[in-house]
Amino acid sequence: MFLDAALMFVALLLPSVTGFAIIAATDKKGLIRGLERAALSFGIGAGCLSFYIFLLGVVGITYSFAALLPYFAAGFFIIAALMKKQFLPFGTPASALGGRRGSGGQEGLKALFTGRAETSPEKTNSVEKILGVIFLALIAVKLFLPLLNVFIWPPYFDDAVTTWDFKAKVIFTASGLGASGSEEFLGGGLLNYPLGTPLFKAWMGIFAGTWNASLVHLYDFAIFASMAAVFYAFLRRHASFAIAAAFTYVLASIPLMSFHAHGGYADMAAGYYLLTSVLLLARWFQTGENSFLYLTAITSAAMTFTKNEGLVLYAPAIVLTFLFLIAKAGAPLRGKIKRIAVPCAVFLALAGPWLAVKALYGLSVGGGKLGIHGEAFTELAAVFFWEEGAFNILWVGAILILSANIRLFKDMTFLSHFVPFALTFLATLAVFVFTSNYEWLYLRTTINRSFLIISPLLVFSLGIFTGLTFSKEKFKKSKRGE
Amino acid sequence: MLKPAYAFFLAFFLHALFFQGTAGAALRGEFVSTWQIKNFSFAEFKDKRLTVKGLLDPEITIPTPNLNAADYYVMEMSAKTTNPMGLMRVMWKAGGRTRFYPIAQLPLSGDGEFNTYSIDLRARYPGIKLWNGEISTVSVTFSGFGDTVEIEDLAIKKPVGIAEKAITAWRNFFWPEAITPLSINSVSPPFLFAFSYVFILNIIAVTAALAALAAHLWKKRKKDSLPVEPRTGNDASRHEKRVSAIFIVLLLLWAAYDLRYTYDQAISTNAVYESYVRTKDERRRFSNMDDFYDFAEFARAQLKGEDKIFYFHGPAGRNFFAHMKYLLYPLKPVTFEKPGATKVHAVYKNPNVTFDNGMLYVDGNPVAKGKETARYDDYSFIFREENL
Repeated sequence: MFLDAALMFVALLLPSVTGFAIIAATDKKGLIRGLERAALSFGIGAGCLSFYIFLLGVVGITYSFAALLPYFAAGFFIIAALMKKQFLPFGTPASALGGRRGSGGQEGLKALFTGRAETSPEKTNSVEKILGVIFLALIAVKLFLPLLNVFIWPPYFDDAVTTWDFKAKVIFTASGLGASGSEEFLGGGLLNYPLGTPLFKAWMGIFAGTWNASLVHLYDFAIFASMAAVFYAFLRRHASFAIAAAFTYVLASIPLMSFHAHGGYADMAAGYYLLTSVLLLARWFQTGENSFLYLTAITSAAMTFTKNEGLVLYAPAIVLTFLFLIAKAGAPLRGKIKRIAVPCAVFLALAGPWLAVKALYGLSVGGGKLGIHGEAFTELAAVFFWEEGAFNILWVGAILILSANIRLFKDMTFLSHFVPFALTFLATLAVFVFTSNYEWLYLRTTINRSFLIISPLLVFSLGIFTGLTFSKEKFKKSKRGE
Repeated sequence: MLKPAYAFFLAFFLHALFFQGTAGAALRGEFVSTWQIKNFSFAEFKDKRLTVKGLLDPEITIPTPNLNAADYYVMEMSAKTTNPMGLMRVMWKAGGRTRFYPIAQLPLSGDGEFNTYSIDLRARYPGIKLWNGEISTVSVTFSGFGDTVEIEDLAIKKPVGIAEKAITAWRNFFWPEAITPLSINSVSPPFLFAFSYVFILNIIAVTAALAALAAHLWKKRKKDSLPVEPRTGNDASRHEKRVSAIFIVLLLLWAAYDLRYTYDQAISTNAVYESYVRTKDERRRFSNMDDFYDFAEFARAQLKGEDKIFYFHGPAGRNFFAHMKYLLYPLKPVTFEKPGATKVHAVYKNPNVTFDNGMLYVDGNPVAKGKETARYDDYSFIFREENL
């Protein structure tokens, strides 16, 4: 058990190295630093690894550590190459550290531990510091319990054993995607389900050399922990320490999240990729750096490879947000959009093979008969406000917080995060109000999970909203009458 | 017993002091004769104690003619079991319809002592009241339960007096949520005085926000009545303080729910640890699966390399097929419709599949001749067909 767990931890870390290299190669100005980069590395590395494994399977290469080695070797190679070119991959320009061309990577390695992500200029007083530390302690508790459950729970929940874990085990056992028509084809079970998470879990089994039905859920925990870290690091740019820690605690303590952090489903992973896509897109809008668009393309592709909703509901929302941001952007940013073909190519290069397989074998992306189901609203009200404890008081809290400072709806920092939430929220509602899927509302098997995917975006938007509301810099300006 | 809170000592004291007489259905000899018990391997009523050994999901149905839901609404049971993850679920019939809601189930203690469980069945949502009108039957199911449960007292009661009502509400608030397959889709809030905790917190949040708005409007009106003065930084400061207050209230309410939920998480993690990891009798039990995971390992060990396909006869009314398929992959379970697909049968807690005198019977019909190669328990075994 201990050895399996250790191997699976390494199986989580190895793709992070490649993810780290991908970010370093893309973000040449070192705008993504410290905790941001570390947390994103896992998601990006894991997402790209799944695509790589899928591609191997499509061309019929048997899965083995040797077959997967080039992916990890590429990561190390990229890092070494970047170090040699004096460009430090850890997010701090060499000149700032006094590094010289060709001097190797010592400064870069140092910067790995010292390079910090940019944070909000807001000053933090001692009370806020204490509050922030308390919230960090609470976050640790919320992380600890699911981690413990990874080790002590057997595989239990329905979709995990019928689909997500089952596919992973079939792929691991068959060492490939199977021949068309065979029981092992695309991991068996429901063929139209995306293979992002099953392929990554299959990799964990391949690396550990065994299938451990409980420990493969370390992937779920890693996504959960990574999401909390990305969330905090990105929010800290816009909010004080206490506010960033408070909202990270809110995210980590969403009740339904605790089961998904070890339960073997794919909803939280889809939510993670949706959140990172939006965060990176918003950073592109703030900085004008196209590198963020490339990374958005990667995380969006990973999102479509995690759940079908990623393709039909969330990817369109991201495209619409992109168009909205272009409309709001100034001339300099618009000028850079000529290079839009690159992120599109990145997206298609990654997600293309999966989409092609889907088209080739006629695999559906879900759906339902169209119709208007007004009765769904009564049930939705019950879900949001009184019957469900899956989201604590998130929905009422969100309405009240957003009502507290309506002027902020003009603020583009807030809007660049809130608009994609609003679009995905409406798209999710539409599924239950305008299609036959409204029947699922009454069983409560999908509605909460659907909102779980978009809830990190909402909490992040609320965090930014709060950060801006209590911005002391703005307060000082208002005091000066500016 | 899972002790919900420190305040319980006080609650128990008050309980002993004020608890009034039992009313409604109660576990007494004359009543037990009318009860129906399903899915059991052994049942006995002796010395005012009902002992039931389950197969899986033993269910006791109690006729409750003329039971007025408005008066009698607390189901109280004194029971003893050794299953650390036992789960009790209450359903009832009102107006001819079977009713159930997720909080009408709670985990039982596996400490081997008699513990008292009480459920307030009035829990309701706006517009919905399921414990209503005349109740004709009440059923108690011990979900995923192959163990023995002993019941000394089971009654639908009418709490009398404020103290008893408060104790009942307090107890119900701290019953941890049971882990079920639905847990990953939906989290049921605890209930306090028949209302969901989330609903109560939402109402407090909205009330606090309305109060802040009212204070803001009142001050604005007062200020508007005064001569016009230029806007100063102090105005902004006051506005910020009001907004801060709303945010702090919301955060406190969030933490209030989370505190209760973290308690739930800790209790369930501990229950899983005791029932599945560090068990007293080396039987691993998990939620409503009972010891299925142990049986799956047993079946894997018994099936030989050539037995890639096997018939799986699971318990009636429950579907363990997907779990069996996943846990034993690449071995492949198939459902039994007719002989011929394979020669091996794995039977788990299914009394309709029996082995007798060299013959396997399904629903009383002989279907194959062969031998039992391994036995797991009274109703679970591996059977291998032999050529006639």
